[in-house]
Amino acid sequence: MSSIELTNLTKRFGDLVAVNNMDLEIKDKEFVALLGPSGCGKTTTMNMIAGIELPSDGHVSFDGNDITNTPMGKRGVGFVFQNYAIFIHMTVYKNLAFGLEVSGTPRGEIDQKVDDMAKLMRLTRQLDWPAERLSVNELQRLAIGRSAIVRPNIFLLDEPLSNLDAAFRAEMRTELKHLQHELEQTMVYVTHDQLEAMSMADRIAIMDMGILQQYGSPIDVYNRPENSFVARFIGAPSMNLLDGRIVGTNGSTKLDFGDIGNLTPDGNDPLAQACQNAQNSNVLFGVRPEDLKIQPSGSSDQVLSVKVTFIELIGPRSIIHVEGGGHQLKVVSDNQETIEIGTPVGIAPTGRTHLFDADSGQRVE
Amino acid sequence: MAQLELHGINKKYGNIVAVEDIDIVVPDNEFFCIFGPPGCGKTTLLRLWLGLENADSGEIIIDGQVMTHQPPAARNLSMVFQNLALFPHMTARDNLRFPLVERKLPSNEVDQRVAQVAETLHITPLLNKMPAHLSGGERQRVAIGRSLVRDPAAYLMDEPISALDARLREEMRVELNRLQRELKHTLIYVTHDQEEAMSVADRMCIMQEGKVVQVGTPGEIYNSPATRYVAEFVGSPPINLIEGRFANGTFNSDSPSISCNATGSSNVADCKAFIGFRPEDVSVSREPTPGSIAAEVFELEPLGAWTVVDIKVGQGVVRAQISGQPDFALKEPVHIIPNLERAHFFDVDTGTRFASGVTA
Repeated sequence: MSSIELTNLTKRFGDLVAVNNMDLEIKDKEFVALLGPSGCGKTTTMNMIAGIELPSDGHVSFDGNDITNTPMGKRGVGFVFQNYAIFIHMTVYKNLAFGLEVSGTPRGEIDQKVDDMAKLMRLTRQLDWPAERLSVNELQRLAIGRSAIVRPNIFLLDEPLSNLDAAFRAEMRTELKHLQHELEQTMVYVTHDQLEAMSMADRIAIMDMGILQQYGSPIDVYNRPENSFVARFIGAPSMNLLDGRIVGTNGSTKLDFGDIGNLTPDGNDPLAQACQNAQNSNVLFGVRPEDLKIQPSGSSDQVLSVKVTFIELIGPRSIIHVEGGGHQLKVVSDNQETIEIGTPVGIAPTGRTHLFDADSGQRVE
Repeated sequence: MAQLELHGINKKYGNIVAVEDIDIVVPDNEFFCIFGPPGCGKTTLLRLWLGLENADSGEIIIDGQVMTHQPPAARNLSMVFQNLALFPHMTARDNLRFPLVERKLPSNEVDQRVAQVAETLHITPLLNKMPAHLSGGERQRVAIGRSLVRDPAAYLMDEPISALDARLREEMRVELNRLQRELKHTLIYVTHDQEEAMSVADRMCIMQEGKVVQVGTPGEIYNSPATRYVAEFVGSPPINLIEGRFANGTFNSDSPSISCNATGSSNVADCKAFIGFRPEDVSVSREPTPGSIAAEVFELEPLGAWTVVDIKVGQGVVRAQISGQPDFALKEPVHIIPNLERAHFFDVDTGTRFASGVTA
């Protein structure tokens, strides 16, 4: 059993602050994704948990014990990298058994554990093969199995799926999540792919420029992004963020978007309160593509007038791209839409909306 | 501004068949995608068109002219490779100018062409920067721009955006589509990402072990997959396939237990068969309804706009994709109903689809 706590964790490389004063607690058996664009500090954070890097400031604790200065080998962490390090000339069996042999596990126990892990990783048939005969997909499963077999208290994975092709990535997402349920280990997973984080993690820590932006369950960060960075980063296709201005006074505020029109939130809509609180300011109005609906052209206080510029048909869904007055938006529909390019249409929010301060990017409620 | 054709193309490397019996006609001004898993032969097709490989047999036609034995330069095609190779010591502008200067075009014409392409790709503000100072997406745009400055017969692209991160790929695929419509040139595009293929292509072909299995619009391929392989590879999460027996027009499976009459299958011989239905065609409810199957929630992927639910039915797992954020819990007992009106039936041995839809 192992919980992880990061307190005021900071890492500087010369003038560059890679991780800035980060606090994070990860519960025992929790699956946490560190998510962000390249250079956001997620891998550095993981390296400090592993003991590969020492923090410039702050502490790392496991189960309440400060291990900031404990060497990597004594932390009981397992690691899977993007580039799996497999002994290519050894058999699959040997690769799986390696960690157990090093720690002096009795032979009978090794055989049992290798069999179990091979079954879980669907490598039973390949146990006697030299690893070099494996496909890319099998190699990746072997890399994960080899680290998992020693049952580390904490399992760290750094973009383990990013070299795989799209179809297999999707399959491995489900497998990894299932593996974590089986092994009941604390898992920390580094990725730049929001889909991986959303689909697997219990909680997601979203980072940008070395700073933790938000920490919460996939649905929390999706439904209530705390700032415009998180709003933009989570969800695909990404949230529409429109530059607008709140005009009007108490009781009759509305969102003005220039040439495409304006929206007057319904009194019961939480947006009405948010607009009230941000009177006369410039804002970013956020609405997810699936929370917009296409209507016949024409404008009112609930509908913005735009033009269709392009439609992507992706299986059962359509992504309808529209623009007007310098704004570009996307609308997702659950049908295979056939609207002609150039058609003037109206768009109206049908679900949750979000408001962010134009300068600070912080959520306004 | 050209139609590109391959007729009866075969290519082997030693004993290994790279591509076999390829017939593809890409009409002028089409955005055509070649889609398939790694190693299926898609890049080989591009290399054959370009003239970087010689076919063992068959004919290659570009803009009505037989080019099978012509050198690459005579074919007048422009290529974007997966690894964007910009000259690191040259500005973005000089990188764009390079293919034209190389061809000894007059300087004012070069400037005009570069300005025009930069405008189309929205990279005008980047022109004076060195590649090292550009982001991944910006570098990719410049690399694409370098292949666009010439006025070739057609553009070929080999996974040009697969190295970019997810958000950037999502933007770039829309850009590429816009670009192709503005340039009005034939574009042949290789990718292993089914979502990308469906998003950009006017038409696409799907390859399997060196052969073309199906050609059609993304909609045709999604709605009427020719084989089990196509059905599995196009669509995410993948289609549910349940094995059973097909006899006298009726399909029966045990786990989960499904029994239905396949539409228009009266002439189909009895066989082992798969029924395939897509995750978005499975509804999940807490209460049983007529015809529903009792099951249990096995895994949940909340993706915000929709939720993928893996459901344990007997020994198997059926996957459902539901709009929105339903609050099912792990191991919760549920009831599922697959909408079989859009189901497909595949022969287990040959893989071909022999019927679609059900009749009462």
